[in-house]
Amino acid sequence: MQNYEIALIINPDLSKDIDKFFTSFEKLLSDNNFSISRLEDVGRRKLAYSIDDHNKGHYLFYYVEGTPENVSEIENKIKFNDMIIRHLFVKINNVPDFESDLKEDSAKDEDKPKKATKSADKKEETKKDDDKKSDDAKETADEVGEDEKVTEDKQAENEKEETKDE
Amino acid sequence: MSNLDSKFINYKNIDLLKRYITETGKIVPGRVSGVTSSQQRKITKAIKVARYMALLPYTDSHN
Repeated sequence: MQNYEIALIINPDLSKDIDKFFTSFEKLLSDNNFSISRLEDVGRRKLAYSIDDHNKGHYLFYYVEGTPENVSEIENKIKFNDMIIRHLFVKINNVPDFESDLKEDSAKDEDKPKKATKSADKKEETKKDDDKKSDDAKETADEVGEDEKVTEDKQAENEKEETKDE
Repeated sequence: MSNLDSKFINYKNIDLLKRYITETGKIVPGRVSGVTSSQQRKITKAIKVARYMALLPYTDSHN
């Protein structure tokens, strides 16, 4: 009996019907003689790139124990399920006790942009000259940063050339 | 350098993996980051899996 970790990304529009998904998926696992050791529901999270025109996805991690022959059967059924947009099966030795730090505090994310826009509007109304000066300062700082990056890339290229010559 | 990290090099440990990619999303070479060769192999494998699961970007110009 092997320990597997099943990582799933679910369509975020359907995350309200998560209970139906849980029951259907757990039934699928039990039909193929898999026992669930642990379930971690991370919830909605912003994706690094858009998948199927979705910018957020609902992440789930199942820690499961079963035989290797049944893994391919579950994979075939997951491929034709429209709710699951990405899946990954990983063979692991031990089920981890700690939680992965992937949870996003959605309340904090919603509060931050509102405060930023209000403060930005006030600054623009009162201090226009200071904004111009700060913009110039930012531009010079960005240029300095770009120069540093360019020199770092050149140094890396020089190192590569040196190693090739040697 | 990072002796404890060999236990925690996992595709879900994004806080660790973010230190080993550049701002454009590329993987930093081992001789620049100063990491041992076995750790570098584990880090690259973890970064590639994290990219597939949309936890890390492939590039900085996805939009």
